Amino acid sequence: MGDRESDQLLVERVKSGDKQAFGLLVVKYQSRLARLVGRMVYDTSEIEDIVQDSFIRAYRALPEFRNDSAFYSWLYRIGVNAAKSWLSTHGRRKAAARSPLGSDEENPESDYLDRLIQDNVTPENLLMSKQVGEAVNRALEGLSEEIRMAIVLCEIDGLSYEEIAQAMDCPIGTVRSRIFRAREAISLKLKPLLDTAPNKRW
Amino acid sequence: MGEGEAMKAQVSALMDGELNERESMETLRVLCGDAELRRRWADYHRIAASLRGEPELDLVARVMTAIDAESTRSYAASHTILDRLSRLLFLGRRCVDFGRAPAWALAASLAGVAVVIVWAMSSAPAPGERLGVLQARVEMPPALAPSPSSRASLQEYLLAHQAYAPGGALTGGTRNIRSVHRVAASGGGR
Repeated sequence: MGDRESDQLLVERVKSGDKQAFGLLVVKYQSRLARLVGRMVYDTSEIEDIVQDSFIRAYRALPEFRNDSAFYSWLYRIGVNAAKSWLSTHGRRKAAARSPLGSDEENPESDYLDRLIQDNVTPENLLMSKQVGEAVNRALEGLSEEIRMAIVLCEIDGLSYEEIAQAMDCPIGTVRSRIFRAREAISLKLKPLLDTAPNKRW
Repeated sequence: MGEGEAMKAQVSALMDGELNERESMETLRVLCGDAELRRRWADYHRIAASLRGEPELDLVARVMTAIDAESTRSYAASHTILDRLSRLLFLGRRCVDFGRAPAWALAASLAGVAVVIVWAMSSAPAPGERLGVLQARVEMPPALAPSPSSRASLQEYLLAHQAYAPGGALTGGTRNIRSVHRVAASGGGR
């Protein structure tokens, strides 16, 4: 079951009154949406506000959302409109010089973090990103070769379990188990760091 | 692998879109109701974002707080409307708190309001109808309106028959009534 279908299940849960299901969607898409909005608006704190506003708008509009399109493309459209609205209101058009908006919508994957670090970023966010990144890398280095390869192929290369199983010449169940163990091991290393983040835990 | 670990493994697979529909529905059902699993969901996504070089961003608490605040405001607004409605119906404090009242009490109150509204709408003439009645009174046809001559003859008739009318309020008492000039002439005054 792909992303679109599982998102639809979450959307249905939200529509039936389950707010926590919407929280799961926020977790899933906040970084991608921030990256998209970050292509239009430079200021990091404002990006966060726009992303937050986009999710709230999406929550309000969710009863009207039909399954005609994927949830994420609908959400991205809301994010783009929120960013455009912010730009027109504030009159500070700090559009990124790297690529036009159209290509961003088609390919929201970008090196947002690099630009974030180069441009203006709040010290808190930068420090947290750096600390989390270092902790994840350390945890990754401590994993066995098979487990590390499975999580890297999944998260960085975006392969499906079946493709990873073929690449690693092992059953799909083993891939599934390895990826889970990798996440648990890294999560354990991250726990002290994330538990200290104020007002961040959901 | 225990039950808790098995569910975390399901959450991990769900995140990668590797569960079938039935498994996904069941996992989502459990996930939505379990705070610890939701934290796992958040951590796994955070790890994924970090591995992909995405920024550290956690807006969930902010978004959920804003949504909760919005829901509270809309609840408070609807509560105020119901409160005013209850006062309007003179229900007073006996069942004012719809928030704590049972559902049937709320339904009964609303049904009462509906009955009153329907009754009022059916018995009261529409604005156009009311205007029509007024116009009908003002513009009564001459043939039906009493003429001045018929009105005078009616008064004569009534005066002529007043003395014979039985059960009058002053029956038997009229003989004790004397006019002022007769009292003065007889030296009744002091």
